[in-house]
Amino acid sequence: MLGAVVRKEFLNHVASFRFWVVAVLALVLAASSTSIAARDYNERLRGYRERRADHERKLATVTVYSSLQPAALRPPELLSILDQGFDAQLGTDVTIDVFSIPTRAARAQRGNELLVSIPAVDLTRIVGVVLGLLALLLSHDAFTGERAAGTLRTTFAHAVSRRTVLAGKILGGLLTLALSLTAALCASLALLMLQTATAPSPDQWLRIAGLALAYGGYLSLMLLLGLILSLHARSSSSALVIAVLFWLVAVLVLPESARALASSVTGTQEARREAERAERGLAAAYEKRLAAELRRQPILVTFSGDTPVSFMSGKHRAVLHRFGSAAYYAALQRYYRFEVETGIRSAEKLYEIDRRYDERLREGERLVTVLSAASPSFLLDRISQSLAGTSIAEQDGFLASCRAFRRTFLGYLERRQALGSWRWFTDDRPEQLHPWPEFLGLTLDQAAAADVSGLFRRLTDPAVETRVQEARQALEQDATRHLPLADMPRFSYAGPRFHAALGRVAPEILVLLALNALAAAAAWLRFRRYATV
Amino acid sequence: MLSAPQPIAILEPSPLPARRPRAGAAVIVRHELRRLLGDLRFRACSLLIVTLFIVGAVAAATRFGGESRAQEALVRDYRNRITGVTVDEAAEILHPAFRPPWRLALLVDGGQTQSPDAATQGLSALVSPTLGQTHSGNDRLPVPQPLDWMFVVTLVLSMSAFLLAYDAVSGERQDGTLRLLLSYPVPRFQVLAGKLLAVWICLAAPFLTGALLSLLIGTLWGGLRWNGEDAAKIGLVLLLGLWAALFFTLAALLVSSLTRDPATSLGVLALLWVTAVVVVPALGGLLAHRLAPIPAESEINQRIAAIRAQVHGEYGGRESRWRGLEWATTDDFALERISARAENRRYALEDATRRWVLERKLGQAQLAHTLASASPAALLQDLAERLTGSGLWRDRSFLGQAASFRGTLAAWLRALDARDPRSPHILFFAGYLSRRPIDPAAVPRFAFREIPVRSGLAAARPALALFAFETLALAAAAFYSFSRYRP
Amino acid sequence: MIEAIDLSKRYPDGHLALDALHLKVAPGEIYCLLGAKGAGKTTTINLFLGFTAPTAGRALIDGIDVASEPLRAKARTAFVGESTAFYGRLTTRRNLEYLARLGGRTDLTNADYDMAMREVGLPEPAFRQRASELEPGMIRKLGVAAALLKEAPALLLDEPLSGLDPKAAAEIVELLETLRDRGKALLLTLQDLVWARQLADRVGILQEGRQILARSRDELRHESLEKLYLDAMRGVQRPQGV
Repeated sequence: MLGAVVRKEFLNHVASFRFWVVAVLALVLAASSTSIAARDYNERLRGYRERRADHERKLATVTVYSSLQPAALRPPELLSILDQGFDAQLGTDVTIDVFSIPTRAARAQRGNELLVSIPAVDLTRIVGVVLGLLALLLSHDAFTGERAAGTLRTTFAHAVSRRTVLAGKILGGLLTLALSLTAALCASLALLMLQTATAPSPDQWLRIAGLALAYGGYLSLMLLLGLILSLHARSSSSALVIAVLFWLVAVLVLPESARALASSVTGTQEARREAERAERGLAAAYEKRLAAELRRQPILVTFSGDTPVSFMSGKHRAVLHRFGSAAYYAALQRYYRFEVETGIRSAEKLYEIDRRYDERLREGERLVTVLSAASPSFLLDRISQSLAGTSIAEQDGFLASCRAFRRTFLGYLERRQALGSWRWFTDDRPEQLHPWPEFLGLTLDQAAAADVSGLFRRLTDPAVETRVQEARQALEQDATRHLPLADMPRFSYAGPRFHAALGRVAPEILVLLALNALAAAAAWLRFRRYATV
Repeated sequence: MLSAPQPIAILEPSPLPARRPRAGAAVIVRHELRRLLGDLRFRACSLLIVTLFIVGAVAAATRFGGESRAQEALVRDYRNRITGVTVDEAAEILHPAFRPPWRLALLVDGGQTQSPDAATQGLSALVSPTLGQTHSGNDRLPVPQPLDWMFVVTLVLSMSAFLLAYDAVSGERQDGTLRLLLSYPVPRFQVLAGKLLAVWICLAAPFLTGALLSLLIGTLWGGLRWNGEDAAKIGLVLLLGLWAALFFTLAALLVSSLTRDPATSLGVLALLWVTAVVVVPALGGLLAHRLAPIPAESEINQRIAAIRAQVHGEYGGRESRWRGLEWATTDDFALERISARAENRRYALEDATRRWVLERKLGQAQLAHTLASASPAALLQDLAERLTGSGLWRDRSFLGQAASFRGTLAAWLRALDARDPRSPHILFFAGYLSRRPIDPAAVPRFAFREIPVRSGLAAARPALALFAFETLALAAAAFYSFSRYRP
Repeated sequence: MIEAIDLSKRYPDGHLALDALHLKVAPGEIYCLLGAKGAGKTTTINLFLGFTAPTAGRALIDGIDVASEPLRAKARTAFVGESTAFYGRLTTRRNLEYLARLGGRTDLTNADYDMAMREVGLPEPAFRQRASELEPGMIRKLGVAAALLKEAPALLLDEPLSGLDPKAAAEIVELLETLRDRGKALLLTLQDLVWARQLADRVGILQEGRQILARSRDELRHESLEKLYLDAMRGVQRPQGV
C-alpha cells in the first residue's frame, strides 16, 4: 500500500513541468559553478606549491637565526569547490617568528576586491535557494490540489490509512528531491574529480557523504514545511503565495538582514581602533626600551659595522652583521638577547590585545546565530561549511596549530641556543673575524682612534670597494655558512577531519533533525483531522 | 410581446438611454484596489518592504557613523604624524587619501562598504603604496549583501509585484469572473491598464513610505546630510524604483495572460525570479572570472622580479648605494643620484604594474556587471549605480583621484624643497632633501569629488535605453497576450 | 434581438466546433440551445460574446455584428455563465456595484442594488454577505441581478440551471420567464430537457457543431422533446423546420 502511494507521488512529481525546469536549472548551475571553482582550486594549489618550494629554497640559504622565519601554509581544501564558505575572505599564509604570535593569516587568494556586489554561487547555495524552492513548489499543493480535484476522497475510499497517505507523500517528495539532488551532486563531483585530477581521500568521501545528508536534511525540512502549508491553506493559490513568501524571507532576506544588522550593531569598528591604539602603544614602548638599551652600549653607537643588512618588515626583525670585531659582536649579543626577550614578552601582550578583539567579533557571530536561527538555510550553511572545511572554526584550528608550531619552534631555537648566541645576528665565525678596518690596512686599535667619518670616506676608494665586494661575494657563496636545519621541526597541517567537523556543528545538526521531527509531527497532527472535501 | 413567434424585421438597434457613458479603466482600478488592499498578500508584502527599509536604514546609518569616525581617527593620526616633520621626513611618510563614506549607501551601496577606500602613498620610491579598507566588518561573518534600497527593489519589490499580479488574469479566469468582466463593454486594453495601475499603486505606496522612513532615519538618527546633488540622485532612485515596480508588474501580467491557471503563473514567475535575481548575476560573475581573469599572484611576482632584474641590468648593480651625508657630499651625492634614478625608475615600472592589475580587476568587475545585466534585476542595480555614481564608477573615480593626488603632493614637496638651497634635492629620498620643517596646515589635503548627476545621467544613457526598450517590449507583449486571451 | 447567420467556427488545429448555425431570437422570446458536452453550445456563447471570432458567418446582437463592433454589441448583451463566480472577498452589493459601473451606470445607490437583489429573490441577509459565502443557487440569482442592472435587451445564459436543486432551478426559471415577459431576448444553453420544454419558445439541438433540429413551442405540443432528442442523438433524421 505504502509502496503504491509512494510510486504514484514520485511519478506525479517527475511528470510535472516545474520539476524538470527547476532540476535542469539546478544541474546547469551546479555544473558551471563547480567547473569554475575547480579551475580556481587548481590555481590556488599551484600557488601553494610554488610558495612552499620557494620557502624551502629560502630556508636553504639562511645563515643567521634571526632570518629563520618558517612559514605555515594552509593548502587549499578540495571540498571548498562545493562550498566556498570563508575561503575567499581568509588568508592561508602565516609567517612564524619569535616576535609575534599568529592571530591572522595573510594573502586571501580569491581576490577581486572590486567585485563584491555579486554573491558567490556554489553547490550549497544552489541547493539552498533553487532546490529549496523546488521542495516548496512540489509540496505546497500536495493536499490543497488533491482536495480540490477530489482525488483525496478517492484515495481514502480505497481504505488507505491516513498515516500511509502522509508517509507516502513525504517519501514520494523526498525521492523526487533526491533524484535532482543526486544529479546535481554527481555532476559536481564528476567535474571536480576530472578537472582537479584528484580523487578525494577517504576522509573527504566521508565529508561528501555528510554534505549529501545535510542537503537531504535541509530539503526534507523544506518539503515538510510545504506540506504543513498545504494542510493549513484554503487553496493551492494561497498555499503557494505563503510558500513563496516564506522562501523569500527565510532563505534570502533573513540571513542577509541578520548579518547586516549584526555587523553594524556590534560596533567592531571601535573595538578595532582600541586594539590598534593599544598595539601602537605597545610597539612604541618596545621601541623606546630598545633605544635605551642601545644607548647603554657605546660601541654600538659609534660603529655600525660595514654593510649591516637589517631589514625590518613589519614586526619581523631579521638582522645580519658582518665584518665586526669581537668586542662589537659581544655588545651586539647583549643587545639582541635583550631585544629577543623583551620581544617575546611583548608578543604575548599583543596576543592578549588581539584575543580581546577577537572576543568582540565572536559576540557579533553569536548575535547573528541567534537572529538567523529561524532560517533553515542558515543551518544548512553552517553544517555545510564545517563539513567542507571552509568554516571559520577551521581557520581557528589552523591558527591554533600555527601557534603550537611556534612554541615547538621556540623550543628548537632554545635547544640550539640560538637566541642568545652570535649566530642570531652574524655568520662570522669567532675564530675567523675580519673586522672592516682590515680592508683599509688598519688594526682595530688604530681604527678606534682615527676619525670615523674619514675612515668611511676611504672605503669608497675603488680599490677598497672592490676588495669589500669580493669579500662579500665570497661570503655569499660560502655554503658552509648556511644554517644546518636538518633537525628543524616542519609545519604540517592536518586539515579538516570528518569527526572534528561533525562535532563542531553537532548542535546545528541536532536542531535540523529536531526541526524535521517537529515538522513531521505537526503535519501528522494536522492531517489526522484534515477535511478531505 | 406575445409568446408566439413573429416574423422578425427589426434591424435597428433598440435605443439605449443616452446617458450611458462608456465605463473606463477608473472603475477597474477602484475595484482592483479594493480587492488587493484587503488581501493578506498586500499586507504581508507591504510589511516586509517597509520593515526592510527601516532595518536597512538603521544598518546603513550605524555603518556610516562608524566609518566616519574611523576615518576621522585616521586623519587625526596622520595630522599628528606630520606635525613637526621636516621635508625630508615627509617624503617617506605615507600620505593617505580617503574616500569618504558613501552618503547614498542607504540607497545604492554598490559594494562601497566592501571596496578599498584608503589609498596611502609615499613620495619616496622606497615606500610602497597600499590600497586598503578603513572600516572593518566582522571577519568572522560572511560578507553581507547591503540592505540598500536597490536590495529591496530587486529582491522584494519584484517578488511582491509577482505575488500581487500573478492571478490578475489567470486567477480571474479560473474563478470564472473574467468571462463576466469581459462581457461588459470595457475595452480589454483598459481592463489590463486598470489592473496594472491598481497593482502599481499597491507597490508604490509601501515603497514610498519605506523610502521616506528610511530617509528620515538616515538624517535624524544617522546624521546623514545631503546636498542638492544628493537630493537629485535620491529623486532619480525613487523614480527608478517606481519604474521597476511598473516593470515587474508588467512581467507578472504578461505571465498571467499566457497561462491558464494561477498556480502555473506563480510557479513560472518564481522560476523567472530565481533565474533573474540569483542565477544570471551569479553566472555573470562566473563568466567574468573565466573571460577576464585577474593576474595570479605568481604572475604579478614574476613581473616584479623582472622589473627588478631590468633595473639591475640598466644600472649595473648600482641601484641602491646610500651613504651618510658626510661621505656623500664629498662627490656631491654622485652615487645617490644614480640610485635615486634607479629607484624612481623601478617605482614607475612597479606603479605601471599596479595600475595594470587594478585595470584588470576593474575590467573583470565591469564585465561581470555587463554580463549580469542580461537580468533586469541586475540591470536595475547597474542603472542605479550609474545614476548615483556609486559602485565601480565611484571606485574608478577614487583610484583616479588618488593617483593624481600623489602628483599634487609631489609638486608641493618639490616646491618646498626647492626653496632650501642647502638641500641636495634628491627627490624624494629621506636623508637627501631639505631639513626644514613643513607647515602641517599647508599640506595638500585629499578632497574626494563625488560624481555629479550630469555625468551619472550621461553614463546611464545606454542602460536607460535598454531598460526602456525592455519595459516597452513587456508592455506590448502583455497587452497583446491579454487581447488574445480566451476567458 | 439575437441572430446567428451561417455562424461557423473552425479552430486553428482543424477542429470544426460550429458549422453554419442559423438562429433568430426575437425580443420577448426564449431560445433554448440543447446538446451534449462539446456539441458547440459554449462556442456559440463565446462567439456572441466576442470572446472568439467566427471563421464564417456572423453573430448579430440587435443588428450589430459582434466581431466588428464588439463594444457596442457588449453594451446590449448581458451574460450569466455556468461557472460565473463573483469576487469572493467582496460583498454582493460591492460586486453588483462594480458590474453596474462597468456597464456604465454610475448613478445607482445601495437601495437600487438591494432592489435588484430582492427582485431576483435573494434573502435580505445575503445583501451584505460576501460572495464566497453564498450557495450556488444564490450565486446564479446574483448573476441574474447583475444582468438586470445592465438593462440590456439581449441575455445570454450558459447552463443557468446546472448544479441547482429543483427548488432553486424553479425560481430561476420563473425569473427568466419574467424577463422574457419584459421583452428581453434570451438565448440559453441547456442540458436538462425538463425545463427546456417549459421555458423554450424555440428549441435547437446541436450535435458536433451542427444544428440537427429546430422546433418552436407550437410544434413541440404534438411531439415529445425527449423522443426527438434521443432520436436525434442516435442519428435518426426528422424533417427540419426553423
